[in-house]
Amino acid sequence: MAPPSRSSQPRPGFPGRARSRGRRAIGTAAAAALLWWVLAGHQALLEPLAVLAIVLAGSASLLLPTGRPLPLRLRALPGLLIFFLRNSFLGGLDVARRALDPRLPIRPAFVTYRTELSHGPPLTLFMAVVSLLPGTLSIRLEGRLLTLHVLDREADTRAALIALEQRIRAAFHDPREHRNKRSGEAP
Amino acid sequence: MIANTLTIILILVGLVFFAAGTAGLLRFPDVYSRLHALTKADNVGLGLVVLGLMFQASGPADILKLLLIWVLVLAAGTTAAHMVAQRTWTHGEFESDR
Amino acid sequence: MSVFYLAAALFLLGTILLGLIRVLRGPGSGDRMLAAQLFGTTGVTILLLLSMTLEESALIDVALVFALLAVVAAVAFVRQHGLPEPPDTPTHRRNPESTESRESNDDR
Repeated sequence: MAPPSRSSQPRPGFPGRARSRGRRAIGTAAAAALLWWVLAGHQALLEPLAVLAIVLAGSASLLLPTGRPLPLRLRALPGLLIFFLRNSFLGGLDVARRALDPRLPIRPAFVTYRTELSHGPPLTLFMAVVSLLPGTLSIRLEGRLLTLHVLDREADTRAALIALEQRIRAAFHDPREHRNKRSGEAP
Repeated sequence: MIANTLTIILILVGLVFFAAGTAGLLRFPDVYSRLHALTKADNVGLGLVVLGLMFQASGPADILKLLLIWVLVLAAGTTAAHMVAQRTWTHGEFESDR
Repeated sequence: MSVFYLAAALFLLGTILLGLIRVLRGPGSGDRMLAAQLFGTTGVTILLLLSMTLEESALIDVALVFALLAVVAAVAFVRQHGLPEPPDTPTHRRNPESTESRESNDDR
């Protein structure tokens, strides 16, 4: 499976199909410029090679066939980001506490969970983030049935997973609202 | 001066997380639990070290670069953990590897 | 300050060495694949700290490349045997330690 697409660059929005190409090209060029600036510093941004790379990146997104735009809801992203940062920190804290405790208080178990998220980016993100939440590790996905490993079988894993699923659902437009058919990505 | 103090504190706390991750790696009883320890603790450790080094950064580009590194390692860590777990699940823990 | 960074980097090198005990002893092949994780995260951190000690900002770029390649390393570890992937269903599992503790949170 692909790594989750959490880039630090701003992504172009989700406008109609017709306008999306131009905006996507501008967005790609801006992202390329930002990346160049981050990697090489602002003096390097005016070099001919940098300008060439940025223009090429922008025009490549005009020439190449467009993929499906990422149906993100920008307004819900800060909430998801804060939720993720907080819970991944708690996850590290939790597992560190268990690992350093002389009594080794872990009670591992396997748990299954059926998610309602659609295949593609939302489900990929869900699988990735689950592994960083406190005490959960995503093992396998069959259809929409997720097999997890939990460190503490007494912990309320389901509530945490449902909370995460709601956050992710809020951050993506449901593709079923926009178009009827959407080819599922093989897990 | 304050920045240096913050850096030292954040890096020291980060090192505790790395140590905890290694402790879990050595002490936890099965592969899945070890994956928990390594993935989560090390990612928090790296996050804290990156946060600490941000106070020493010379400009916003440096800060963004550190952030980019953390995000990439985060994505790599969670993906690798999932792949190892999935492989262990489907192939069994003791496939012949020697 | 640079002494502190160096000490921190050496400490992390020590944790990698300890972690390698698990990688070398196994027992399962999954344990050996943890090396990718270990070197990915801790290696990047060591590089970042070394770049501060040596005041060599190029090492940060090395850390960036390390982070990029960590995914590739993980894929290489997982796919190394060239075995065909098993059929998706039914899954089987042989995990002696946790078998009895399987618990199905009866979904919906």
